[in-house]
Order: sequence, then C-alpha cells, then structure tokens
Amino acid sequence: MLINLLKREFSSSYLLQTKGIHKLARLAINLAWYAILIAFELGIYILFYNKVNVYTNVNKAVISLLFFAFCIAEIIFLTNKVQKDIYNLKNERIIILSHPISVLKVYLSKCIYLYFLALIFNLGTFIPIGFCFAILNKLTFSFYILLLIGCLFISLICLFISLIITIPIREVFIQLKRQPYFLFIIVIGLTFGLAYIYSYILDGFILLVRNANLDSIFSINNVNIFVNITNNLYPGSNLFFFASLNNSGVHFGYLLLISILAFLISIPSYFYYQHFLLNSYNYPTIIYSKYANKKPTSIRLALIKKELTLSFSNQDGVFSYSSLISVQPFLIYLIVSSINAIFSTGDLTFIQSLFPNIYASIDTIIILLFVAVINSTSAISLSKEKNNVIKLKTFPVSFKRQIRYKLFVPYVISAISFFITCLVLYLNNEIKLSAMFIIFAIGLLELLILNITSIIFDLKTKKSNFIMSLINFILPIVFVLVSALITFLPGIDDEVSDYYFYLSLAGLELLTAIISFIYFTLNAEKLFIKYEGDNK
Amino acid sequence: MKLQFTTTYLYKPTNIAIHIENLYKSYGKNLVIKGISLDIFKGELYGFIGQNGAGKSTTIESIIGIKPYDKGEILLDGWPLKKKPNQAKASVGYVSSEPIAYEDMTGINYVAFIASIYKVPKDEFNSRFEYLCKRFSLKIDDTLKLIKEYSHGMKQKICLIASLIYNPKIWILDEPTVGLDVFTSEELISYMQEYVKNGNTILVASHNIELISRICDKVSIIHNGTILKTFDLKSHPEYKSKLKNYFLSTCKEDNNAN
Repeated sequence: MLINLLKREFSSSYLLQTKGIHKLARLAINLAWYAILIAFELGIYILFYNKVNVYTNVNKAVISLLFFAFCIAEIIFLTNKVQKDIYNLKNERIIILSHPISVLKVYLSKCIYLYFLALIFNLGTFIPIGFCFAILNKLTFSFYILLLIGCLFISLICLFISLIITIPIREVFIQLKRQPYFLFIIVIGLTFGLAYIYSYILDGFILLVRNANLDSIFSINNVNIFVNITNNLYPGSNLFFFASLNNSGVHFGYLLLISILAFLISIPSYFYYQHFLLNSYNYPTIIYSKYANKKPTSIRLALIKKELTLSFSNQDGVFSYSSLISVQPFLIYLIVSSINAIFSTGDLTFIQSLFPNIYASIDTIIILLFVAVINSTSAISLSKEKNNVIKLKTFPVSFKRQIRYKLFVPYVISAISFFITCLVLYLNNEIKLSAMFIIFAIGLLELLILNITSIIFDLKTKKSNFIMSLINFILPIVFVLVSALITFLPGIDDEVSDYYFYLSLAGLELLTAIISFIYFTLNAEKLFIKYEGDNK
Repeated sequence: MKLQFTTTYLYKPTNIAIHIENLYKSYGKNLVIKGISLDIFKGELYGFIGQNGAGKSTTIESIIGIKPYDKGEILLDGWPLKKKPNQAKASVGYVSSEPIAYEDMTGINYVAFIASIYKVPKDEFNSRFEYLCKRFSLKIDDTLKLIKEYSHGMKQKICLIASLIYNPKIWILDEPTVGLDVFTSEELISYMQEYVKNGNTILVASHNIELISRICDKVSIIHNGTILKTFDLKSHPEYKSKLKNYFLSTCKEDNNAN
C-alpha cells in the first residue's frame, strides 16, 4: 500500500505529469535551470570567498552562516510544499475517506515524498557550496562523505519543522482570507519588506562590486563577534563542524538530538492532518456589501467594475497585481538607483567613461523590463475570465466593446502606476525631467503592445501564459538593444546624445504599437467569436 | 435613418421564438451538428433529450452565440443571430449546466452587473431581485457574500436569478436541476411553467427524461448531431409515459442503421 501511495505522490509531481518526449524535455529544461542556478550561486560564492579569504576564520564562519541560511530557505520551501501537497488538494479528502486507506500511510507517503524534495533542495544548496569550500581549502575526502551524511539529517530536521509550522501559518491565513482589506495591507507590507530585503542584498552586492575596502568591516573585534555568532547557528554550524572533523562526534550527537526533537515536535502535525481530513471547516463568512446600495449601473461602468474586480482579484498572494503595482515605483527606484551607483563608482566607472550614455540604455532596459513583468498579471485579463468567457459571449454588448474595456482598464491602472514610478525616479535625481517624459511615453507604448499581444495570444493559443511570460522578458530587452545598436554603435567614438537613443526606441515602439493596434482592431472581434471558452 | 431602415429590414416579426435552419457545426474534422432545423413557438416549453455527446449542449451554445456555427441560420425572437447579435441576445437568458459566475463578486454584485448589461431599470431591480431570491430560496444575506464561498447549489441559484433578472423572452437552460435540492428543483419547475404561461419561451436540455416528459410541450430527441424525432406532448399526452422507451428504441434504431 505504502509503495502505491508513494508512486502516486511521485507521479503527481509537476515534472512527471507529461509523457514521452515532453517529460524528457521538461526534465531537461528544469535540470538546465537548476545547473544555471548552481553555477550562478557558485560564481557569487567564489567571488565572495576571494574577497574575504584574507581575513582569518571568516570563510569558515561564512560557510556556517550560509548553511544556516540554507536551512531557513529549506524550511520556507518545504512549508510551502507542505501547504500545497498536503492541505491544498481539494478532492483528496474525498478520495482518501471513501477508500479503505490508512491515513497514517497516506501521511507517511507524503512525508517521504517531501523528504525527497528536501534532498533535491540540498543538492542545489549545501552540497555545491560545501564541495566548493572543500575544494578551495583542499579538504580531505571525509569532508565530502560527512557532508552528504549530515545533509540527510538536515533534510529531516527541516521537514519536521516545516510540518509543524505550517499549522499556525495555515490557520492565520485562513482567518486573514476572511478579512480581505487587512490581508491587502499585510500583502503590501510583505511586498515592501521583500523589496527592502532585496535592496539590502543589492547594496551588499554593490559594495563587493565597487571593490570597497572591507578592512573596516572585518576588524579583529568584528570577526570575533561574527565567528562566535555563526558557531551557534544550529543546525547549520553543526553540519559544518561535523563534516570538517571539528568535534565531529559531538556535532553528530547534536544533529541526531535536534532531529529527534524536531520529530517529537512534529508529531501533532499528523493529528492535525487527520483532523483536516475528517472535519470540513466552517469559518464565518464576511458580509462584503450593503444590500440597500445595490443598483444596476450603465453598461460602461458595469464593464469597468468587472475589469477592476478581475485585475485586483488576489489569486497570486504576495505577488498579486494589486500589491506589485503598489510597490512598483519603490521597487524600480531601488533597482535603478543601485545600478546607477554601480556604474558611477568603483571598478565599473571605466565603462561609463567609455560609453558616457550607458545609463540611458541600462536604466531604460531595467525600467521597461520591470514594468513588463509587474504588469504581466494585468495583461492576462482574458485568461482571468476563465469559464466566464462563455457568459461574455451571451451578452448583448458587442465583442469589440467588451474587448476594448478588457484592453484599456488594466492599461490605465498600469499607466498611472508607471507615471508615479517615473516621477519618483525624477524627484530622486535618477533621471532628467525630459527623460522622465520620454521614458513615460516609451513605457506607455510598451504596455500597450504587451496588453494587445497578451489578448491576441489568449484568444489564439492554449499556451498563452507561457508565451506571454517569454514575451514579457524578451520584448523590452530586444527593443532597448536594437535602439542602443542603432544609436550608439555608428557613433561609438563620438558623443552621441542619449536623446537619439530615446528617440529611436520611441520610434521602434510606436511602429510596433501601430502595427499591433491595427492587427488588434481588425482581428480581435473575429478571434473572440471563434474563441470557444476556457482555453486553460 | 439608414440604421433604422436596416434594423427593420432584418427583423422578422413572428410568433416563432427560436428559428433554426440547417445548422451545421464541427470541431475540426468532426461534424457534431448535422443540419438541424427547428422552430420553437412563443409560449412553448421545449425540451431536448439525448445521450452524452449527442449534440444537445453544442446546439444550445450555438443558439446563444457561445459557439460559432459553420452553416445555417438562427433567429431569436425574429432577430438574426449572425447579423444582429446584440438584438438577438438581448431577449435570451441562459443557464449552463455548470454554474458560471464571477466568483470574486458578491452574489448581489453579480446580479446587479448582469442587470446593468441588460439595462434593467434601477427602480425595478430591488423588487425583482427580492422576488427571485424568495422564489429560489436564496437568503438576501447570502447574496452579500462572495460567490466563491457559495455551495454548488447556491451558485446554481444565483445563476438562475441572474438569468431572470432582466425578464428575457426566451429562457434557455442546460441541465437546470443538477445540484439543486428537491424543494428548489420543484420551485424551478413550477416557475418554468408559470413563465411560459406569460407568453415566454423555454428551451431546456436534460438527460432527465422524467423531468422533460413532465414539463415540456414538445420534445426532440437529438442523436449523433441530428433531430431524430419530435414529440408533441401537449397534443398527445399519452407519449409522456412512454417517452423513455421511445427514446431508447429510436436511438438503437439509428445506431443500427449507421
């Protein structure tokens, strides 16, 4: 029974859902991404290693700190997986309860599957970094073996902790879902928090790139404090000391003890799962509107309200359109200011002296890229209709009119947020006043192109989300690169004003916007008539 | 003036609520509707019965403009669906087999949205809404909650209310009683019977032959994309008790013939 349940868990995994060549292709793509991620991670680590290697003991402390950070990341990863794979399977309750299947075996199969995922997570974190550290320090073979053994325990500890912390998180979120306005504030707060963390990481990265003098940071006193702290970052530090034969026995004991403790703490999670299966939750619902105020409105207002409801429906949690659009000005400002700082000081100033107008293209590429990605969730407004597309086709309102609202309502919201973004950049001296207006115009054209493309792809293809994700990444880069080539390359030795760059970019986008708008006007209605409902 | 002339020209005043002529529809190379022709008169309660995949839902979805058809003509209350889709659709209410509504809206917001689309006068909205909620046993307090929090039955009720809020002349229902409790099903049946008495027209598709034989004036058996037989149950009530047998034997004969 347990084997069959395990087979079921693995076969329902995202990577193994398709068949034949598609399965192989999906596996290959994911492996390639994983390899790129590891290479990137190792690149940054080696860069950092070389910077701090001159300071005694710092690299050992850094590896303990990294192992601890990986533990936290693994717990976050597993908590998310526990929520998705154990508690978010709607029909599973019916399947399990209507068959003579032991709940304990189901729970065990899920835990084993999650443990497997945790081990894969380790392959991309502890193991490459640990091996890299061992190679750089010419450590003995035992380090590699003990690190692998230690990772088996780390995965267990992280899994047990995840199983138990999912319970309060889940309960809090269930209650928050009943309080949409409060949830919105929390989501905005979280997004700002993440943006701040990102800015700190970026600042750290800038510090390294600028080749600043680290002596003041790694003074003897600071190093001692740092080493003392990292020595006590359980269980990350235990893993490192265990693998590096530094009181291995003691630290193995710690790992074993923490695993047992984590297991004991996680036992109630099984009973919670049992309770979850047997009890259908009946939480009090919220009254969202007052009855007396409800009246029909004009068709225009009704369609606008419907589009706003679709755009702001909180389907993606923290990364929903409403939260991303709210932090867009702040997020883009952080990134643009950091990029400008990189090129104005430190090792990379030579690039600026070679190409004085480099800011223009780099700033623009960053702004356009982020605008495209942030607004991509609003552009898929037709996908968000899901089965309601059927309903739209029965309305006595022309398809042209309905599609027009579908295009322009999210467009106007995105445009307002983008204007604030440009204003913030100008007020903080990151771009000039004239550049602000030009970038705003260019951004508006880009948003129009992306929104039109998104609706056309939604109407034409079942794979629209994947294609649109690609387009959102590729299109802004292509526009900026082509414009940069047109502007800067012919006059590489001369002083070329960045306005030529903006002008060629605007021209390129205007041309694309006109072509896509004409195509949209001529074809959208026909495509909508042909569209036969839920493409997803 | 020109527009008025064109509109008048296309409108054919008639006592036929739904006119279907030589309707063809295919999915790729698979022909699923093979030349259906049909007239449903005003004040009639018309039923479609058929097996799964016979073409009932596809015919209905073509009638209301969800699925584009390859060939043929459809007139709704005298308006040609292809040439004057907005006028044709304005007189039709549709309830699908699976409840479809904007789940991030509250029940009342959704019904108000539909009422806005069909230009229901503001002063009539509340009385109609309250009346329909009472008829279909949906508490007003429940309509103030998000639709995504509704049970399947409640969703079906709000879709029924939304489809009736603008008093359509033609009401089309696909498997309307699925998910409804016995009391609401009975209330729906009695509402349907009242509705046609007021001169409106109903087209209903269902697997439930007992239901169809009980309420419909005319019934067509749809099989393999064609209408095999039509029974006038109003003129010949004796068919009602034998409809199931007729249905089974007709479908078998057609299968053998093919």
